[in-house]
Amino acid sequence: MQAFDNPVLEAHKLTVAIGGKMICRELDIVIRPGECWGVLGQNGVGKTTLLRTMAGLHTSQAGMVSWNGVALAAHARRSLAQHMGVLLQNEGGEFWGSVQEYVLLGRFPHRASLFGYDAQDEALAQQALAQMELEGLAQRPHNTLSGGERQRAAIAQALAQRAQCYLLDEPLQHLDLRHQAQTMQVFSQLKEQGCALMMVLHDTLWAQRCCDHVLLQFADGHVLHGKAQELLTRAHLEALYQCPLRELSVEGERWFVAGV
Amino acid sequence: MSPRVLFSLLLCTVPLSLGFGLMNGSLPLAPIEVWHALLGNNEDTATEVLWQLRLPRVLAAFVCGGLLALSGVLLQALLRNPLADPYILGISGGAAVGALAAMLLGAGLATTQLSSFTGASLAIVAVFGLGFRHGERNIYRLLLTGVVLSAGCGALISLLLTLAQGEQVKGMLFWLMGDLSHSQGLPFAWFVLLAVGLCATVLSGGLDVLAGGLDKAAALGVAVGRWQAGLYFAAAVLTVTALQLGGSIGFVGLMIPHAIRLLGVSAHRWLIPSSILLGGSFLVLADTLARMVWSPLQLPVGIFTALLGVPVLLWLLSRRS
Repeated sequence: MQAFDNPVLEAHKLTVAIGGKMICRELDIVIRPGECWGVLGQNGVGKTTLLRTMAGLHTSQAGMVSWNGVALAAHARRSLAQHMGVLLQNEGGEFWGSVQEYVLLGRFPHRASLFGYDAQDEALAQQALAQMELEGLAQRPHNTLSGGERQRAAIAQALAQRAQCYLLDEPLQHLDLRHQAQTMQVFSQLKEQGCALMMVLHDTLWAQRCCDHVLLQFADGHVLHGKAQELLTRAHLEALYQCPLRELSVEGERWFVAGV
Repeated sequence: MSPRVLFSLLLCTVPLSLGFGLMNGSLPLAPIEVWHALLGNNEDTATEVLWQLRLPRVLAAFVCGGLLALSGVLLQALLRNPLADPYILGISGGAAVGALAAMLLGAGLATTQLSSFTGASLAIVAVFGLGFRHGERNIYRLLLTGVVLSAGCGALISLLLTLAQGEQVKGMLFWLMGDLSHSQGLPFAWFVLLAVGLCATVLSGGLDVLAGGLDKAAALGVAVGRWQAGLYFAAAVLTVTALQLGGSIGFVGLMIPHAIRLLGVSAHRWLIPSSILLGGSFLVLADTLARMVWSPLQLPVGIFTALLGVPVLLWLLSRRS
């Protein structure tokens, strides 16, 4: 089981800034297989930028991110994409084809042939569609989907990728309660199968339920990270969100509610 | 419509459009006459007209349409902008300035071609050098640089038109509106179309991913910077080849890819070959009408690409909603 415990994704002395704003300074984190990291913080604090840096989509000022002990930049984009899945908050493009074709793009890094996708790719895409309850929408043009459906399609695409590590930017955005629960259940299963996850969340309840580690990004560029149970306290969260919180205890779970 | 059905239908329209182009002109030929002239070695007028004039002309129209449509597909994927067409990045502006300047100085056909090629090449290099930053996943700089350069070329074109006299103006207008009557370099154009078309079809999976967003494409393993540079130069080569063949024929590169998409095909694996076929057939049809309508006078083909294409596209657009 030694290999199982080797870190997959690491940040070494990572300093990230965007548009003159400091996101984090000399951050060291180690993400191992089977761990789920929640990233929490106020709007605009740089959660997305940090996640994109961890995915190699944003260049850091100093330090580095490594995958399996080797700097991200040293990996070919394609081989990285075979192991690491990224869910973006804003894809910045419009897909003109059907939902099924969209989900199939998740198989792109694994394609055996240049000419197209094989039966196994199709099967995995179909499975991902089923996991996100999208079978009925498979033939719909992707650009006719609602926000929540689009989000589920994006998650299905990531699932079809069959990665060992997922970086997820607000995976629950636009989702209704039922699909929030269902999505988090899917992620929990991935975690149990040894997948490493890092997700930006706004809901402290889901962070408690699913994340074993959290990373709190404060407005001043200061970052706290560690075990979820230790950091998800009222004091930390009030400092994080800079607002008073009420703590409720419901069936053994701590709920944090904003306002008085 | 399923991609395979559409592709098969388009494949069937190719001989129809080519046949239509071969039959019509200032000397109308019956299908049987065309057939005999193509097969036989009689030395009658029909054979001569067909082999010397019509066949090169329809082949030039077809390849030019295919080049423009393919260039449009690639640029729409590169710029992720539905308004992108082969001329948006200033290539045609550069070519037009070159061509018109040569015409103004009274140069012959060969010099005009060379001058327009030089103008286009300068525009390609300038836009790439100024607008493309490797590693930057934002393509707006490239788009804006191209649009700005086009505007500058537009001013120079107006200046050249103002300076030109009488007959010169007409020649210039024909170049600007697109005209296939002086086509040269046909085998090279076919080679470019087939080579780039084949490569693009083989690499179409990456184009699908790229069209869906640049960060997304990078996350799915596409080397975005290299793809962007490759797409840019592929589209540039296609556009320059088409410009050398027929001047700046409008509408084909913008609208053919959209027409195929509106017919329900958007995966690049089918979009690319379908666009080439439709673009080719469409331009053959438009060019034949340009030769027929005012016969024996020939009109610029660009007029007919728009006159034919606009109503069809408006119909497709309204049908969808």
